[in-house]
Amino acid sequence: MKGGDKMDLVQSVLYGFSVSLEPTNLAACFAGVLIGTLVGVLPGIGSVVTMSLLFPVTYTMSATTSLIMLAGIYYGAMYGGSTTSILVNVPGEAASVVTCLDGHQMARRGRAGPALGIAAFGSFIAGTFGVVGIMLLAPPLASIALRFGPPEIFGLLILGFTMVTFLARGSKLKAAAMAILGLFLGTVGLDPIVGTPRFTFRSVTLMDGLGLVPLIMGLFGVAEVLLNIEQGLQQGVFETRIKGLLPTRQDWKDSAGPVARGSLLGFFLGILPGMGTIIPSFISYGVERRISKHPEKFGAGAIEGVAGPESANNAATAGSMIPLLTLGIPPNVVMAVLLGAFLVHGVQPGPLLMKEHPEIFWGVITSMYVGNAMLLVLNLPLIGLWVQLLKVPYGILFPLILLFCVIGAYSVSGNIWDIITMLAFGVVGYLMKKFQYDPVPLLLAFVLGRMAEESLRQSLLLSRGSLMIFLWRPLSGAFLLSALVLILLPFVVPRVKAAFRMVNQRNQP
Amino acid sequence: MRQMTLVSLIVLLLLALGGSWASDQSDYPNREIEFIIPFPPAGPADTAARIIQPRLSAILGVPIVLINKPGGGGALGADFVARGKPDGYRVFATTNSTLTIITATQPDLPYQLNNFASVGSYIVDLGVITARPGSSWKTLEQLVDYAKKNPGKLTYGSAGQGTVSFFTMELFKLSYGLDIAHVPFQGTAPAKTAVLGGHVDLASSGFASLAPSIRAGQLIPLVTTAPKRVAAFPNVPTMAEKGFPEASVNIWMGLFVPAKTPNETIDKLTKALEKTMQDAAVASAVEKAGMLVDYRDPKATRKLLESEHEAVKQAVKKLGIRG
Repeated sequence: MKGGDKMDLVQSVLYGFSVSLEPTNLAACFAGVLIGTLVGVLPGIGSVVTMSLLFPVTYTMSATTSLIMLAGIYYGAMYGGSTTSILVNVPGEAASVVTCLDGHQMARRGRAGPALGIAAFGSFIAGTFGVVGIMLLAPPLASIALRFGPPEIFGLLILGFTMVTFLARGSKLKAAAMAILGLFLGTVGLDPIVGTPRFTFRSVTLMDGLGLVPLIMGLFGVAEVLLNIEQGLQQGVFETRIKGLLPTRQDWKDSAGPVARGSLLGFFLGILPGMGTIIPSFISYGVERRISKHPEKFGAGAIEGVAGPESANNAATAGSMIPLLTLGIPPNVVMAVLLGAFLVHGVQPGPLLMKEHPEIFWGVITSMYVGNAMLLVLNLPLIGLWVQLLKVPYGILFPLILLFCVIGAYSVSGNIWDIITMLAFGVVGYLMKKFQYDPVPLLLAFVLGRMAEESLRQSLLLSRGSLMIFLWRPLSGAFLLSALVLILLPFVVPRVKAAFRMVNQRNQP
Repeated sequence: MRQMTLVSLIVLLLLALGGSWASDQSDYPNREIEFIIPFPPAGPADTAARIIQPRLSAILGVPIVLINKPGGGGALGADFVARGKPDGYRVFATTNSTLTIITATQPDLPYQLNNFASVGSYIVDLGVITARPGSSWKTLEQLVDYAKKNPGKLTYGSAGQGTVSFFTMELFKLSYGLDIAHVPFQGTAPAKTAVLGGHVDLASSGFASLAPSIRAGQLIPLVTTAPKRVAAFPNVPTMAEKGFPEASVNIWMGLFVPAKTPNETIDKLTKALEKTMQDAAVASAVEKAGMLVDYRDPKATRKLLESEHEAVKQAVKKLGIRG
């Protein structure tokens, strides 16, 4: 970067702050992140629905103000989503599913405070990192995103798959069975390439496939409620002692690496089309568990399992802004809503946005920094309050959770069958928990399988049927090779070690 | 005998109710009107409805509530309106695809084209075929020439099998007799990513989504499906002027109500829509979003629906698409 460019950047950022710190924009930002936090806390009710509901409210605002508010809802929800996961083991947002695994275990051990604290700090650090990333690197990163065609996406998904196979807990056979069930469930609906109906039974609802939100809220939310009805009065576990509200020095030491890696991973994955926020959070968890010196602690309240994914999903929200702002391409559903907001205000985002509407480009980006700071200030004092929530009797808390799940499932597309799907998966999830089948592999296979099928078939259409396309393309080749290495390592490493031991023993007289 | 009386009583009651309901229609509209958009937020139908909503609602004097009811490529929302009460309080704010395209490509749809009465069409998002950055063909002729010499070598990305972008490209191929492989994506955004990244050679979509990249010089516009040249891009030829007027399927937005809605009610909606589209502020908002005002009254809308439905059916037959 030349000196002149640097000056330009500093000036642009300062100009951006002059826009985002205007009282109206500041208020819009605060409203957005506050609503976002609440939406995040409420299970089932997601940011897409909230943003589209609030869409008309933003008509009267300027384009910049309304985009600042809508973006605030999105990343605000990522902060709130972890709260419900940690406290009651019900994901507040789809992206917070993985936070349940260790976050809730921490809460059960009286460490709800540190879990909530590290989620908030991790999100803040990741959010800041993401905003700085957009400021410095948006255009070059956008061109990297463009290099990801179907073969590269397929390679990445396969690598992601091998990362997350380490997530399976307990019986490997059961985990494999669940993954296969997930793959099968992912095939329901119109085939992504030629549109042949598969397992739709002539139902128009099933043409779109099973909804992700009803599936998640059923398997994780409703199932948890059902399980708690049966377990009755075990609430005592929590009340023993709440040890501290903030992460300790040791917690920080354990979390530094996961937060840094989660931020990088989430930011980069967020830029890519279709990744959303769920996949980055799962991959981050998989990576942390994989490189951890004590993987056995994962699933039993390891703070790394909260810090990594919560950072990843927040960084992903920042990353996903890049294709929208610089290419005019929304990489996920939430960004599609933001694109709609741009268009309604008569602004077409794309390569010329930075030049034609610098007040929007720099205003929105700097507002995300302001919003992240607000969220931290907002969320830290709330921790004490949330922890008190654990004292609310389950008889009151769980019917409420169920109610929000039902509203959330219905609100996605106003279809009564989505509620029925959710309740059905609630029963399935309950039975799975009873018989110790882990729902995580099912969910992952469901999400990744659909995308992998699509990108595999698109790649083969591009290459006219030749599988070599995956090796010719350097990026996809590298991803697939890394996946192969990861799969083989557990088999090879013990043998090499054993061989060394043999040699050593033989050398000793 | 007694049963007969009961039946006739019920019939009478229903008639009376029907009568009172019909007379209620004279003060239509007296409460909020629901607009059912059969797609998720954003996208042309949603954007168009949101642009006209404030003005239309002011003219009608009642609030208009926009409800996104996505599913089955728009079929769920269409069915929801088709089954609704024909009283003008539930309006289908859709693109042409739910009425003219998926009715020709999808079997098992619970509704038909004649379940709806037209209020009018109002906005069009004209289609354009673009080439990837860095390609050697800069004009339509160069592309056609290259494709003829290299059959099966080129690829194009669409927003999915059976979408407007797919039909635009297939009709283009049929017109010139070209062999270009189809790679479907799930929606406009990933198809645009694929052509910008050079993973496919060509892609077609509306100007609303492609214009920014064309203006930035990232995509090369080859030909448009507009009936006449587009003011913002006067150098881009049209399929019609090249001698293929039938290869001009565009994305257009219309309002529809259940078929049995009283004419009086439809008329009120139509007049309000016409007035809205004459509003200069609305027209400028439409243009800023990359689309064009293109108002048609119910009769003209019906005609367009039927001719387009027929063209798509013919194309489906020729292309041998599985339904």
